[in-house]
Amino acid sequence: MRLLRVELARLRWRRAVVVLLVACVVLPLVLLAGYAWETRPLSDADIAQAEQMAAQDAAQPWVAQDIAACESDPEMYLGPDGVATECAEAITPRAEYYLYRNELELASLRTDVGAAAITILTGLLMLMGTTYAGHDWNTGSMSNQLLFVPRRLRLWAAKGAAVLLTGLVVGAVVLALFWGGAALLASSRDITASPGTWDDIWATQARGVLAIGVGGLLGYALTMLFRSTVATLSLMFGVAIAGSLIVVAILGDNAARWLLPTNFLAFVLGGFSYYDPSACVQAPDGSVSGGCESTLSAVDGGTMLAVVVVVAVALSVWATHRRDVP
Amino acid sequence: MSSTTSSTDLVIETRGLRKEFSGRSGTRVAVDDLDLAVPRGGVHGFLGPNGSGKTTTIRMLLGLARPTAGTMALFGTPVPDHLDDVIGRVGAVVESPKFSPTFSARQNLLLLARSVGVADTAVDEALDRVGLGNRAEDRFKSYSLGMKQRLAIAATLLKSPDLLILDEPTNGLDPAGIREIRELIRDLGEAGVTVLLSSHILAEVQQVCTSATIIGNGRMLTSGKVEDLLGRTSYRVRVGDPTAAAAVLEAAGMDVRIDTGSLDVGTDEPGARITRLLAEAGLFLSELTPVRADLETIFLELTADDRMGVATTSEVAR
Repeated sequence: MRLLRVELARLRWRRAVVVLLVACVVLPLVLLAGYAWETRPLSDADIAQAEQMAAQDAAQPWVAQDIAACESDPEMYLGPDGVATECAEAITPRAEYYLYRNELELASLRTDVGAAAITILTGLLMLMGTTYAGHDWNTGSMSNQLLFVPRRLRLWAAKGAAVLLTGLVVGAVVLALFWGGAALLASSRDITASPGTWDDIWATQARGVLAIGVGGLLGYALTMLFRSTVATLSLMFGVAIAGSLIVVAILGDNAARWLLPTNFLAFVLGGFSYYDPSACVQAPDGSVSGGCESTLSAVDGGTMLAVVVVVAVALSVWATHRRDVP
Repeated sequence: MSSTTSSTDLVIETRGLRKEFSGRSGTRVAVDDLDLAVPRGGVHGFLGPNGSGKTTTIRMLLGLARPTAGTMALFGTPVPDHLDDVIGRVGAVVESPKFSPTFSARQNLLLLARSVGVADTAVDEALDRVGLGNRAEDRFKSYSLGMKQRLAIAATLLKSPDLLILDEPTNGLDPAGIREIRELIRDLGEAGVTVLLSSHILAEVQQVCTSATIIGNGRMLTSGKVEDLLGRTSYRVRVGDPTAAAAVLEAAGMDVRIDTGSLDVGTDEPGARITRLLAEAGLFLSELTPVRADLETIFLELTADDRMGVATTSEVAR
C-alpha cells in the first residue's frame, strides 16, 4: 500500500497526466453537449421555417406534374394498392420533410455517443499509462527508484495498480457524470426510456469502466515492455492504421470477427453485429437474399481483448524482471 | 588490500564477476573475472579509464544489471538475490543524477523517501545538508549540473546509509562544487560510512581515498591502501661529491642512482637520516627534495594498454 500511495502521488504530480485527466472529463461531456444540441426540441421558428420551405417547394411546377402523372398511374407511384386520391398528399412537400432533427433517445445514445465516450476514455487512459511509465524511462528516474525498491516486480505491480485504479475511478466518475447528464436531459424533455434501456446502460457503463481501467494498464504494460513512449505510441498508431488492413489481408472476408474495434464494441455494448459472409441467406436461385451479419457476444469480445492484455502484461513483467536497467 | 581481511569485514565483495554484452558486432566483455573487496570504513577509490567496467560493476552490485557469471555480496549478503535485505543500508549515485525534471527537488526526494518509509522530515534535512534547502521547491530541470549532483547525493543520504556508492560524483562540477563534494565524501568517511568512489580522476582518488582498486579492460589491476600503492618515497640529493655520497648512502642500505649532478635515493627512512649520514661523512647537502610517485604514475604504468579517456592530473588542472 505504501508503494501504491507513492505511485498515485507520482501520477498526480505529473502535469501531462493532469491534462489527460481533464480531457477525460471534458471530452465525453462535450460529446453529450453535442448530442443534446443535435436532438434539441423543435422551436416555433424551426417549424415556421420548415413550413415556409415546404410551401415554396409545393409551388414548384414539377410537383403538379408529378401529381398529375401519379393520378394517371397511381400503382406505379404508390404501389399495387395506390389510388389516385392519395397522390397529392403523397407527393406534395410537407413541413416535416424539412425537419431532420432526431429526438433524444437513450437507447441510441448508449450505442452511439455513449460507446464513443468509452472509446475516447480508453484511448486517453492508454495515453496516460504510456506517458506515466515512459517518463520514468526517458528521464532515467526508474533506475533511481530501483535503488530504493530493488524488487522490480513489486515496483511494476505498484505502478500498474496505480494506473488501473486511476482508470477505474476516472471511468466510473466520468461515465456517471455522462449518464447523469443524459438522464437530466431526458427528464427535462419529458422523455422516458423504453423498458430495459437503463439496465443496458448500467451494464455498458460497468463494462466500460473495466475497459477504461484495463486500457490504462495496457498502455502502461506496453511502455514498460518497450521502455519508450514513442515505441508504444507508434505501436498504437500502427495497430489503429495498419492493424485492420493486415487482419483483412490475412483473413479476407472473415476478418471482421477478429478486428480489435469489433471485439471492443462487442464487449462494451454487450454484443455487436458485424459483416459475416458465411451468415448470408441464399435464395433458391443462388443469389444472396439477406443476412450476412453475425453478432459477437460480450463474452467472446472480452475474451479476445483479455488475451491481448494478458500477453502484453506477461511480456512486460518478464522484460521488467529480466532486462538490465539503463 | 590485505589478503588477511576476513570476508565478514568486507562491505563489498565480488568473486569471478563477469559481464558480457551481446550486440550486432558480437559479444563484448565489460567486466572480466573481477574479485573486488572493499573493507568496512573509509573511502575506497574505484579507479579506471572510461569504459573499463567501473559503472557496469556498480550497476551489477545494485541490481540494475545482471552478471553473466560470478558472485557478489554486500555486507556479506548475497546480491542480487537478497538485495532487498541490504538496500536500505546502501546509498548510490550511478552515472548522472536521474530525477523527474518537472518535479521539484523536494517532490523527487519525497517520492523516494516515502517508498521506503522514511519520514518526510528527512527530506528537508538531506536537502539542507547538501545546501539545497533554499532551492527545494525549484524544479529539477532548473538546477545546474552541480546542484543536480548535490541532489543525487541528498537522495543517498535519505536512508542514512552504511555504504555510499558514488559514480563520478564530481563530473561537471565547478572547482568550488568539486571541493564541496570531496569534503562531504571525506566527512561521511570519517563519520563511519564506507564510501566507494568510482572515478577516472586520479588526483581525486589520491586526495580523498584511503584505499583504491584500479581496473582496466574489466579486470582488476591492483588494489590496496593508497599509501601502499604509491610505494616508498625517494629523494633527489645534490652534493659536492656525488660519488662519495653514493658510497655512504649505499653502505647504509639505501638504493642510490647517480643522475647528472645529483643522486636519486630510494629509502623508507626519513630525509633527516640522509642529512645526518652525509654530514657525518663530511659531505654537505645543497638540495634534498622528496620525490614521491603519485597515483597517476602508478595508474599509467598499470593501464598502458587500456588508456582511453583517463583524466590525468594535468588534464584535470586544465
